[in-house]
Amino acid sequence: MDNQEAQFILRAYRANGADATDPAFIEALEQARRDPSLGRWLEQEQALDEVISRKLRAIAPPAELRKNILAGAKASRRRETRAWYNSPVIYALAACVVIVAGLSFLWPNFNGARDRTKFAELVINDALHEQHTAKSLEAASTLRNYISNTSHRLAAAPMPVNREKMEELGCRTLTLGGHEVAEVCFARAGLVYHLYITPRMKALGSEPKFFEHDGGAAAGWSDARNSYVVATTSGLAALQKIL
Amino acid sequence: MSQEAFVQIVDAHYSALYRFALSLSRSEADASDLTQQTFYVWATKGHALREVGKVKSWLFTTLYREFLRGRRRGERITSLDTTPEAETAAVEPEALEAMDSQAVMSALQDVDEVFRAPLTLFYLQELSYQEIAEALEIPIGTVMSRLSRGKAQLRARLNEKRGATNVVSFPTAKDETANG
Repeated sequence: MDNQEAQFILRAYRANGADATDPAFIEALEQARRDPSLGRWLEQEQALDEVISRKLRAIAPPAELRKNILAGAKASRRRETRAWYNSPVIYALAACVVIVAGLSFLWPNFNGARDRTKFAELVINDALHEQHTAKSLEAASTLRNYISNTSHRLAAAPMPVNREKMEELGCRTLTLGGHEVAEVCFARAGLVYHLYITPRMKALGSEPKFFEHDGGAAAGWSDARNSYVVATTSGLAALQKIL
Repeated sequence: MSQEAFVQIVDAHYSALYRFALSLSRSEADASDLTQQTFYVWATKGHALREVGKVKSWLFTTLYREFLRGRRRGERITSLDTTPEAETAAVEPEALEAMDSQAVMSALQDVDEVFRAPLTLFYLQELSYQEIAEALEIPIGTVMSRLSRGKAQLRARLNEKRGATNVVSFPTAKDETANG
């Protein structure tokens, strides 16, 4: 592979490192490590790509778009339901069944969703407005090293957390919405994140759920023992990159 | 699909989809419509998708198809793959930092459409080059080729935009009167 060929391939290599383990890039990356001129070119290419990506990600959708999407989907569902049932009697009966089933099945989930959202909002408020002592940066070095490592996706595997020892280690601990929480701050690629750890909450499953509130963003998920909410002021995209 | 799951997917992807749509359609209103339309299709047909991990690719693919479908009749993309590659114009990251996001998006919107779609997906960093190939339904080699040419075009457009913002206009007679 000559340098021109390597450049052609590496132009498709994302600056956030998401392709680092893709075998298609390994040979070209290796060549860039060996050849200083190709290495410099790659460095410049990545720096430029990163700025362009950041600028594009900074473009915010119109404020009303999310609400419109959700409202539109709801309206479409209602319209489709009417189209399926031509008889008003059958439609009324079906509607009753749906309502009863919905009340019995969805109500507990709704409460869970509400708790989860409330908890996420409390976490975001704390991350945005409260004092974060140096302790929470220094504490729990094993965990902090793990979560600061850009090759670790936080929600992909259980984290090295001993929640019971976190306070002893000097982590900031607090109570949010009745939940005992330990907090550790960390940084990745110059962006600051706050990780909140609490005993496992039923409302958070293994798949991360995302929240936005007051200009902050958070994602929450659980493993077998703990629930985690990570918050940042750098937006949802910054969270998605680390999960 | 539950309402909760639907909201979850909207929250995770609507911003990136909107940016992709804005790059394609060059209009905020059209981009909003395309994004909404994509989620409408998801709400009605998403249940057919069996692999949960493919939701993101599916949404980008659907948005791109909706964009192509909504194109005015008779309007076609001119294939530019046979055009010679533009010489890559030099752009310094520092100079680019000084540009605002809208100017960068505007430069991207000026790139030829065949390059713009893969280029935007690449810069959004949501999809790998293989996923871009699947979303746009083109071969992987074509994605790489279009990224290479598209980057060259984008840099030329960025330089033009930077040049335009550096131009100092002469005061008009009206300005001179106003300034005394």
